[in-house]
Amino acid sequence: MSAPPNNSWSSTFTSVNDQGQNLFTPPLSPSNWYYAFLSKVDLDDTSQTYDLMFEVVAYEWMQNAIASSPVDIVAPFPVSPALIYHVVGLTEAEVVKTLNVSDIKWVAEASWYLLQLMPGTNSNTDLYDPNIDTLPPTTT
Amino acid sequence: MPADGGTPQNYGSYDITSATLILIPQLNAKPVNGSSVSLVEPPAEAIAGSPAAAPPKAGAKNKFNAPPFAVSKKQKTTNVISAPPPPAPPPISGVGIMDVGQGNCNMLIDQTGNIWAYYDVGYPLWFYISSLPGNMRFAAPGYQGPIVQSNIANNPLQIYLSHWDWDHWRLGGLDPGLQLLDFTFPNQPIGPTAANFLAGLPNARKHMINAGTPPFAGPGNSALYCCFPPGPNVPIAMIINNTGLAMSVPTRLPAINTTLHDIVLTGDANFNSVPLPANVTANIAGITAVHHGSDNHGAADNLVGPINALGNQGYIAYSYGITTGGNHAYGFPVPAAVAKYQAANWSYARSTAEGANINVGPTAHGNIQMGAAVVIAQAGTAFSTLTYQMN
Repeated sequence: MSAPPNNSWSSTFTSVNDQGQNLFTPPLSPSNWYYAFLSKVDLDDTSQTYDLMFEVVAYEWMQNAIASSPVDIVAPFPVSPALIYHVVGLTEAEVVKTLNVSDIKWVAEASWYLLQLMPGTNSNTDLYDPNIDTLPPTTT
Repeated sequence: MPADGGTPQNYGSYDITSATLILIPQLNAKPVNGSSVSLVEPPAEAIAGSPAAAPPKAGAKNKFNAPPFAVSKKQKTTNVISAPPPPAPPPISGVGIMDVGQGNCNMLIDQTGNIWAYYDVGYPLWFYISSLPGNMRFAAPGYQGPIVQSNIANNPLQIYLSHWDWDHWRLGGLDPGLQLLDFTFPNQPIGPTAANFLAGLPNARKHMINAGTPPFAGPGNSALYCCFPPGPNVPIAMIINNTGLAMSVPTRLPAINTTLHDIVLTGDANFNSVPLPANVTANIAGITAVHHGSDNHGAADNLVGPINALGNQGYIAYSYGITTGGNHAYGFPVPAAVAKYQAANWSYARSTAEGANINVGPTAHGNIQMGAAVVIAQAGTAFSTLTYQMN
């Protein structure tokens, strides 16, 4: 059995690992940019408003794991730090403006967007870990 | 648990301050890589005039030109049509339309009260979580969960997904018992959370159905159909809901009959997207409302009709959710859609959220049994009690 690395090496390796963890593992993007899969678009016929649900992954993670590769990867991707971004009660005009498209007809499930998400105060929006629904109700 | 190993968090309110559309779905007349949906760059006309802010530059490639969460082509696929025909089973006695709040979950029940299969295993989005019945709230003290095993020898429960909408698959990602079952699903683009879920299932239990697969046999004499929207120029917003799997289930409906009639389950797919054979179309006694009772993108148009013997009393079940605040998620069921179903002779209606009191309340959660009133063999689950009988 080989000898374990000495403390100096261990410290260095730990620091390098921490850099990767800090940059690529946390679900929140340090730059506030996300790749966003538009997973659900629902029109409330009564109020004529839209609910949008995106599955989002931090830009930095996607760039590191996918977009920076010089080749297209065909193997299944590793588990990603995906979050849900949900916004409810948007009018058609608000959807079009918010998503920067020319017409509501371009808003479709399975589309991908690059989104910049900034902390806000709008009670109709929510960014959360999808596994929040695994927690007991008393904790959420 | 999140990828960093911490406790799942709610980060609260965030605003979209910039957006750039980079890929849109495109319908393929002929499947590409087994799917009738490709992701392509949007035309210039799709983007509004104002330039979006740019994200930081990073990486050598810096171009997002492939659907990174599509199921790998190397993943196991199963063309069930090529399998030897199963031995003739006893007919399914009915279909359960299960109360999962704002979502969809149907189960095939046989004459002995055993469960053969699920068509969808949905669960509400977080925003609509209060639409769940108390015994279906995962991790709550009263959680009883779905039935996860069959009592039939050599015939394990199976799960069929209509399509990859959260409120049609999420319960499968929550309940560990369901994750031990086989999943059959359409080959569609999926997002990161669905990809994370699929990554956790062994390949042997994932059965991806390619677009264009002919109708194939499901459990208990049921049949499954690959959906495809009609016409070459359908709105792109219709594509995902209308490229999934639909199911027909021959049952004794009305239960007093010995002749079998079909119950047709389409998930969120419009009826004119389902390639039903003429003999099935002429033999339908029960349906579930398309897309929880939506009237958007033709969801309540081009309906089939019930068998003549039912007159205007065709059996229809609505699956939708009402929150504790009394809010109908997405406004479902839309009154105009309900009127269209009634006009097409689907007037014998029950709902998971309101029983017979559709859109007039008071709310009365309950599972629906469409077909013979059999007692469910598995006790002690949230799916063991079928409150509303439609037989």
